[in-house]
Amino acid sequence: MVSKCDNQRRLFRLHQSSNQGRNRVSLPLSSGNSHISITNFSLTYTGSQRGLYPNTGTFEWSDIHLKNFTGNANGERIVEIYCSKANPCFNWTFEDINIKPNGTDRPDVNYVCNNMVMDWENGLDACHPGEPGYQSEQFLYHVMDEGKV
Amino acid sequence: MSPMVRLYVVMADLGENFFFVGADDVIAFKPNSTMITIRNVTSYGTTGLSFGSIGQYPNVVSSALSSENWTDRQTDIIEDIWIEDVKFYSSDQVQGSRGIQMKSWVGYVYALSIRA
Repeated sequence: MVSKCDNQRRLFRLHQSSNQGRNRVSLPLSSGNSHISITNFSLTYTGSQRGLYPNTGTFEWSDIHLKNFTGNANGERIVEIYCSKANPCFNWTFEDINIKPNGTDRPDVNYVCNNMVMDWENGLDACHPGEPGYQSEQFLYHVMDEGKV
Repeated sequence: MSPMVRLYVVMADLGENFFFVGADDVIAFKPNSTMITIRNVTSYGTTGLSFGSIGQYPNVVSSALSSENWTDRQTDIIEDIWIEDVKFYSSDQVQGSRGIQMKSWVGYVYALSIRA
């Protein structure tokens, strides 16, 4: 992968939950047939459910390789990866990642990897567990509030 | 604004010299996107190249596949995606917010099924 990145606030982002306030609510319906198993349910998404049930996702994110990224970030966040505890990410590699953060106040947020299997081959030694969210969606909304979106 | 391109069950070398201006995903690889090559993408003001959301529905199977093996029948996959030469810039109206993003759903389900 060869990419250029200019004025990007953040390069990677991986959330095991939807960041659009979507979560499942299911309503089982009845069936009159005693020999049939049914799976009827409806889905409701509300903003108030945003961020609920973290670390419960079981989808597997693996064999992902990111190579040769250059550019400048809008903020201090460069990598934000939040895998699910229920199924941690594995077999990811990073190579030649050269994104300059904008600012030096929070170097701890530059590279954040949660629930990811890391080893000497991973290639992103700087990545460490950390709090997601800083310079995340809130930052976007702030920009939107200012009428820039 | 909707993503410019949504891909479903595609096996192709389809994206070359792609130009995008907008405020949402440049390209979104939806569930069951496989064997896709994208090259030379230039984008302004985007939320990036997206994988997902995926994993929304439990036990998603394809009726086109007849395998008895459960794991062979799942369609919730995004596989064999190759992307190269992508440039992200801010547009006049919106800053680019992400380059690559991957998103899967939470696993909590209130009631999956009932047996009548």
